[in-house]
Amino acid sequence: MDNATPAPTTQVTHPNKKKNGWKTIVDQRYLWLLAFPAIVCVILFNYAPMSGIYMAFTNYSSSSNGYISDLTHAPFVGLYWFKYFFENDFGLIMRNTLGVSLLSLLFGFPMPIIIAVLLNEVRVGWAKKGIQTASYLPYFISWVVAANLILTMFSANGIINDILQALHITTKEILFFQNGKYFWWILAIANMWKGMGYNAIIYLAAISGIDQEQYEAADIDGATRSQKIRFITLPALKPTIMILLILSIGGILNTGFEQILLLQNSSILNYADVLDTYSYRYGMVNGMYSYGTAVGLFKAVVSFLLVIFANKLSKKYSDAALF
Amino acid sequence: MTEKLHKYFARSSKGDVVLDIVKWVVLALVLLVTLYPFWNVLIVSFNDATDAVRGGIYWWPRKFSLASYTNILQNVEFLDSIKVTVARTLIGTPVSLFVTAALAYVMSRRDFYGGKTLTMIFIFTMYFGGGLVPFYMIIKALGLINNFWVFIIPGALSVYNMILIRSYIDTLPEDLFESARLDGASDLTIFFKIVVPLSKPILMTVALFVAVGQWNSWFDAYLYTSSQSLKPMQAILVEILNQYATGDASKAAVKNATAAQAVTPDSIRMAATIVSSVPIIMVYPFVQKYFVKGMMLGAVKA
Amino acid sequence: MNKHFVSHTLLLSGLVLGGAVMLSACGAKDSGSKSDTNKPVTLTWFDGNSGSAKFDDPVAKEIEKQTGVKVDIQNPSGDPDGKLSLLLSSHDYPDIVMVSRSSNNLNKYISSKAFVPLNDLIDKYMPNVKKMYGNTLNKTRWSDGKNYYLANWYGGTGSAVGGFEMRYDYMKELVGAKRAASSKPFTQSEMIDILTKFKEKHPKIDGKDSVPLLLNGTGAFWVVDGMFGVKKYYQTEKGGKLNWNAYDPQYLKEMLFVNELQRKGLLDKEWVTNNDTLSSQKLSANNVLGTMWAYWNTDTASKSLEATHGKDAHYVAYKVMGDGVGPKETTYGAAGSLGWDAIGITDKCKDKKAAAKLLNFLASRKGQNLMFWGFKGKDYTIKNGEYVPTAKVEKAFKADQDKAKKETGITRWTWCVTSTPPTPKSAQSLTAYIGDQSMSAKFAKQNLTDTAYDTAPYDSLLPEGSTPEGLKAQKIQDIQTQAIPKMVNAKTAAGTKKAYKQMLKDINAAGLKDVLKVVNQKYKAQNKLWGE
Repeated sequence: MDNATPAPTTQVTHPNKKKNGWKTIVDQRYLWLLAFPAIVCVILFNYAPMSGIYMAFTNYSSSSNGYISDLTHAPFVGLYWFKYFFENDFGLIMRNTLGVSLLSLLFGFPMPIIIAVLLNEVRVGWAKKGIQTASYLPYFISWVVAANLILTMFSANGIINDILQALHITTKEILFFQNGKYFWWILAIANMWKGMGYNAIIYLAAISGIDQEQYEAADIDGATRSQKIRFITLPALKPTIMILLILSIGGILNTGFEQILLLQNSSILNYADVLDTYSYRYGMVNGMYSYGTAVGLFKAVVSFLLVIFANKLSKKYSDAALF
Repeated sequence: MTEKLHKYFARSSKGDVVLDIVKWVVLALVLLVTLYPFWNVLIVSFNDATDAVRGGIYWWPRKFSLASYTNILQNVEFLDSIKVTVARTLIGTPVSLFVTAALAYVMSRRDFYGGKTLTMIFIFTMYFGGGLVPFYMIIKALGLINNFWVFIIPGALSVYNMILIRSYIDTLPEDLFESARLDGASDLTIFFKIVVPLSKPILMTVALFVAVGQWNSWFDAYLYTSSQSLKPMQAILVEILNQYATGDASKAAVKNATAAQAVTPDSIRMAATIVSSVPIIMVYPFVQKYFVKGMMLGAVKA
Repeated sequence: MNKHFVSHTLLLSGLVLGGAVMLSACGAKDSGSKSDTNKPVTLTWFDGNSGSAKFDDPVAKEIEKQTGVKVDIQNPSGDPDGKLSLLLSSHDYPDIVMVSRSSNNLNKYISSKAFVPLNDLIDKYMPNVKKMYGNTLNKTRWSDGKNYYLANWYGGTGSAVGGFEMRYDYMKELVGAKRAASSKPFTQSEMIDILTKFKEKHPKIDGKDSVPLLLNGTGAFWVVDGMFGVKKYYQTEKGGKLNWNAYDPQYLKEMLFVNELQRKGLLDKEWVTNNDTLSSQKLSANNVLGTMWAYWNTDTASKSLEATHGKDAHYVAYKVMGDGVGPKETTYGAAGSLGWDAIGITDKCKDKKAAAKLLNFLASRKGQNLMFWGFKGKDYTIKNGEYVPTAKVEKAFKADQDKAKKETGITRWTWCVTSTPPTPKSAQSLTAYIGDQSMSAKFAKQNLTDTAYDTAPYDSLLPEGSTPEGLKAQKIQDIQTQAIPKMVNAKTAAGTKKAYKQMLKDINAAGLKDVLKVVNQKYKAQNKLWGE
């Protein structure tokens, strides 16, 4: 969903390097001032809550003494919650999480590239603009609304079943939300639908940054348009594709929370329960705070390892890297 | 027409013809799947509520009626919630933009002391968090529970957006800053007088993302506020669209005993959908001209 | 756009941000007030049932006038249980909290000392509570013998709740007018015949496939339980050991019954995904014969059907006995004599005296009448000992109940309420008075009254969430909910039995033994406390 540029791996040697650190900080006081709100935010809202990680190793229960006291007085249980998770639901939840996210990646990743490349081929100005604008539309609506649309469209009397039957692809209506095997696909398609226009912008932008002379030179060589896509456009997109792929791999355990919460039901929970919903359901709804935190911590650690791994891989095989 | 076609085939290779067919088919499909659901919502919302129950409305309202809109626009709770949403969008967007852009500029400065470490510190938070309960405790300690500012402050910094803006600033010509510095401009002056005006495309783009996010949020309100007067529009929508099924007998009975909420017919739900989505979609044309430009330079260096 | 506009906006918002942090930090300190002056006290009250309602109607204002307390309603948009759990995790709950008696949260609110013991307050400030609640107060004591909450909707058993809700016009057509109107219950096979006949006679209605029976998701199974006399726990003798309800031999029969409906094509294919909204919408279409639900749940659908298909196009309640279940052994009327919710005063409440006085007023007959009937004279009158709404109010409620509720405040707030009507002749409330005139209420009264069973002894026996047993109990419930669709949607009866056996195996593996141990411990302690 995001675009990012790597900090260049070759660090520019800056002029102040030899200077005393404190003096530099004083010199750069306005920069610190500008960064100050962000630093406060990240300390308060990202790092301070990490104290809660300890909760995963205790049996936390709340009392009126306050959070800090509850945390320090909670009995230490070591890896009990992790053990419980691995011995019980780990397999199922991981299968679902990976199922949903890999399918989402399979659909959602190439689609914006396809749209961007094809849109770039459209020469009629209004058509290009019109299609582009329409493709953003799903991005603007909330999941609350989108989930309602999806549930209606995929219901037994919904338009999807009407079309399938009208085209004689199926004779009986398909009960999409009752059969777990459809859930991952629906979710993947829904994720793609909501994000494809938005993600295409990034590629469109990259395409518009390609040097026009390359195309002109290709024209002189008599290249067809398909060849130009293959030999100029796609290679130019490669760095962008790599960066987005790294980000996606880091986020592979992020299946999206809201959409699943809004679309799941008990008959397909076996397929719809992913790490995020699972830790929310146990940790929050049922008040097993420590257990929920343990599952969340597991997810965070794996995600972080994944993104480092992907970044390394990308550095090795291409020039693009996130950090 | 035929002449044009002849010309087209003469000009195009076989592969290009295939390409053109694929192009129009795919793009037409994209257009259909993105536009039609909204069209359907729109026509159902303009259809008579009891008639809509029968279903089967595809292209045009069967029994035209504005009643669903008058109904939804008379719903005091819904109208109040719109105010909350408008306020959080109008205030939250510039605040987030400032915090994020200021950091992005600092992070883009290669000579910033400790910049690389700081970047890592920020990026780390994209993947690692402490969980909901401790986060709630911090919010509480800051007095933000049941406070309008809980919609604004905790989410003010977005590391993703920071990276976007930073990479845009990276592409600005270094000479501009150098000459300004030689003229004695401070870092603050450079940021406000040079960086911000020149980064308008990316700032507008990010502003739109933030605004859409603010407009569509409800889960933060569920978690951190309980007061009726702080419910954003999407929260009321969740109630109207009734995404939460009542589970057991006891809940069903309570429902009867107390609220006995009437089930909202399709068309009213659809009208609520339209009323809630149209304003934010309307913002887009104003920002559109910056859109691709903003993301463009951001991605080129990638 | 001015060149400086953007930068100025940014600068300004930076200032706003700084100011906001400071303001909110200060704002956090100055809350709380003392009550001894005559200024109205504001108390926050968590009510997950109230919907997005503001405490500003005439009834609310009268409560404020009578007690000097202004109530600030807190209600989440979403699952109240999750929100209550989050509030407890940080001890950040309102002054008064209403929580479902059967949820895990009640245990947690008491054991973490969030709810304060009420005994002293009751003795000092709540004479009306003592008078109205009577023995209910003894029964709602916690294991330490103290009262931590007041029951809401207490004393209500014996009334009809759920059953087979069938379209009256179709029933007349299928079994004849006389049989359709009689109070004689149907047997399981009779009902299957009726459903089959309907499907044969009307394969399609209005161009859509007909649906003999609709179920509102797995949440509707308390009604199916009722048909087979299955209770919350399986107990072979009164006061004996409690076993998980899946071990009740009737439980498998129940699943086999619904499976048979499914195999014969008599069940709505989308039953699993139905929720309240969807079910109501489907019932409003003309192609459904019936459903298994609480009798009031079909009212919305009946209302819209009546308008288009005549007076008899109305869902009315019938009793159907599962095989081997006698006419008096069904348990459709699952209701707790100790009510649905628990209302407690929390340790965060700065003015417990005011809170106690508020609850005392609400619990009093005067308070009950105000909440249920509004203002005497203006909204209702008493004729020969029967409470009757005035013509104007009755008309308003019949025309648009939601709107009328909002405007008058009647039955909008239902706190510390008893299910016992003000006089034996009266209805319980103004809305009940109007509801009782409906066909569905009359049929429910006629056909379902002797199906009641009191769930109170079983309401809060599950282990607490933060214990390892709590985790296991949650897991077991999850397994069971997920097994229901498997048992029902199996292609053969043998498949249902297989899924049932697998479920038993799974819940045992998930630690049923440990959970039952806690359940029985709690049950024993409760019996001792109740002197049974």
